Amino acid sequence: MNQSTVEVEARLIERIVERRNTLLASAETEAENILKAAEEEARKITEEGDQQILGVIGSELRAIRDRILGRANVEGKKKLVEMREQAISRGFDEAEKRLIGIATGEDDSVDYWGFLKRLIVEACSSIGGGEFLVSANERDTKLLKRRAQAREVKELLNKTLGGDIDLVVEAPTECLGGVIVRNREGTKIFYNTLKGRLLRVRRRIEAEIAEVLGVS
Amino acid sequence: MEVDRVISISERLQDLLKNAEKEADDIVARAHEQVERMVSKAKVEAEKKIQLARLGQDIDEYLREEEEKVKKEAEKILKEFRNRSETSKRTAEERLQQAVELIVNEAVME
Repeated sequence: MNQSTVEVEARLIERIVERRNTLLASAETEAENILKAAEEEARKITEEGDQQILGVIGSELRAIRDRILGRANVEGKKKLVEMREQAISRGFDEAEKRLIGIATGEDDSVDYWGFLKRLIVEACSSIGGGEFLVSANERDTKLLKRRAQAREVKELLNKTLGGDIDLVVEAPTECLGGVIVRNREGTKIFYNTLKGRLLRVRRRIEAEIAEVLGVS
Repeated sequence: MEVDRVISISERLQDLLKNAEKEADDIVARAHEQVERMVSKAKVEAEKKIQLARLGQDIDEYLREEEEKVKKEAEKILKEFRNRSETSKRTAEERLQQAVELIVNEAVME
């Protein structure tokens, strides 16, 4: 066997083996691609199935959604309402402290005696009639029982309501300031205490206060 | 003699090549069979799940997933409310004196 025959054989074997390897490698790659595409198709089938199931159980899913989101909204709104109430109450608590300061004379920004007279006139006017019983806290009772002050109040009442008004100052009662006025028969009563006025103010302008505080 | 030998080798190599081609075809064919099984299995499973869902069975996982998803949305909603509440609280604190003045004036002048 000469050298050239051996070389021809070797080249032939080499070419065929190379071709074989290429064929098998190409088949493996094709198979891999086919399987990948199949995996994708299977995934799509599963996904489409899941979508159909979601459609089938839509009402259950909506119920879950409504329940959880509904609860979150209610809870959130409740917190906002609580915060609003706290802010408004804080405003009224601070205002009450200011009014106590005014009633005790620590705060002279308001003439308390003038204010007290006005509270009595306002209460008597609202009740109507000519005979009234007035009660206040200990400090204000002492003030109202002083001869000069009592005369001043009576004159103001006579002038405002007309006629000869009879006003009796009763024993002191527990309150921060202001007065409680009733008619002689006790059938009508007007709470013109500081607390009572604050309550009425709150009922009347709570929305406005919320607006001022930025919590409306 | 040598020519015969080369021819013999050539024939054996041709066989080798033919076998390789067959083997390659088999690989691809096996892949196709696997694909058919895979897709068919996915279809059967999907259809079975749909049928069970129609009967209200085997849907716990879907409901649980939805619940988890919606819980996250709810957290966001609550966070927004918390933020709104904090902002309003700060504003209320800044404007407190203004509100107190208004209340005191109303109580005195009512």
